[in-house]
Amino acid sequence: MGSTQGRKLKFASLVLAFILILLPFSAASAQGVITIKITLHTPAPKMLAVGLTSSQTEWNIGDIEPNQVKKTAPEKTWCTITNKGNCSVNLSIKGENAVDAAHSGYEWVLSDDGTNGKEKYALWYWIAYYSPDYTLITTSERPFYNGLEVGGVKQFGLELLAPVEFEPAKNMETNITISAVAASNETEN
Amino acid sequence: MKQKTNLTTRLILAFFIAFAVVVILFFAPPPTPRYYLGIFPAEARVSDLVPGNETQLELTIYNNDAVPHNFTFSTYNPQPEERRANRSAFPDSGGISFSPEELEIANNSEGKVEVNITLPPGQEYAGRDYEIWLGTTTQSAALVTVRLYSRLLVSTSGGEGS
Repeated sequence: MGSTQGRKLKFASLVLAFILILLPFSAASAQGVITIKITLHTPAPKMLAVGLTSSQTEWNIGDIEPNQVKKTAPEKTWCTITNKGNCSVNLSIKGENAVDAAHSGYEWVLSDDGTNGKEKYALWYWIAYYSPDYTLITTSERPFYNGLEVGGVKQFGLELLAPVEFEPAKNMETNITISAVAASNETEN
Repeated sequence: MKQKTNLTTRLILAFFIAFAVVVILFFAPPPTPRYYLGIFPAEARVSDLVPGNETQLELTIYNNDAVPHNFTFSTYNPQPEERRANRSAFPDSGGISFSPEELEIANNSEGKVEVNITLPPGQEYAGRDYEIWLGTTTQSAALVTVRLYSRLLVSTSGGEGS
């Protein structure tokens, strides 16, 4: 007898559960239409755009002595890079030998190991709130920051170590190139 | 009693000032770029290119600066870890040319450059997936300049061209 009551109770529970499951569908049916919306997302064509902000368009160091170290001011937020495109980007950096614009042929070689020498200088960067230390800039492209998200901003500053020995009365100029490409983890369109 | 009230008021005021400073710092807009340069598409795809055949695509360059810029173009063969998965180095970067080779774009304007892509003939280049980067940069006297790369993804068909 007890087992019959138990079976009835189980059956009633199942029926109740079934009704509860069907309730939302029946309510929608009562209103007339069940709408199933399928939305397909196609990836937007990627555009790469990078903005550059610098407190100065140039870094005028002024007179410099052999072995002297100079840093940009502000030290680590001197230049700002902004991702203005619609995909995340990987950034790399490279430098160049410094040349005297007025006397072609005279140059300071950019160090590839952080040491200076006769007419050999070194250059580093520090990314604010990211780099643990200054990182060397060389004449070959090296990773700067990977995965700068859309609208993302990175700020950095520079440090220069003058050569051990160089000719006086020269106006040395150099250039740093920041390269940007759609990040590797972006899915192919 | 009055001194205690004053101290409480000052503490509350200091708290609100500190809170306002934190909120302003947190929500402050990032520095406005001096300018920005753009390239479209950031990733260009060529499918079913027959080795030995030529194809073209168009890149749009954006100059959102207050002054005109002269853009030059180049190719770059990225390192394996920089490429998309399962893509090899483009076999002959000399097979890619730009027309025009230099492009002056007025301030707040855009310009177009045509890219001609040719793969060497040969069955060894058939049925492969390649990647090379198409770069553009400005001729600038500024200390820091930007170079933009568009990833060119080329897939070849199985047959050999005539």
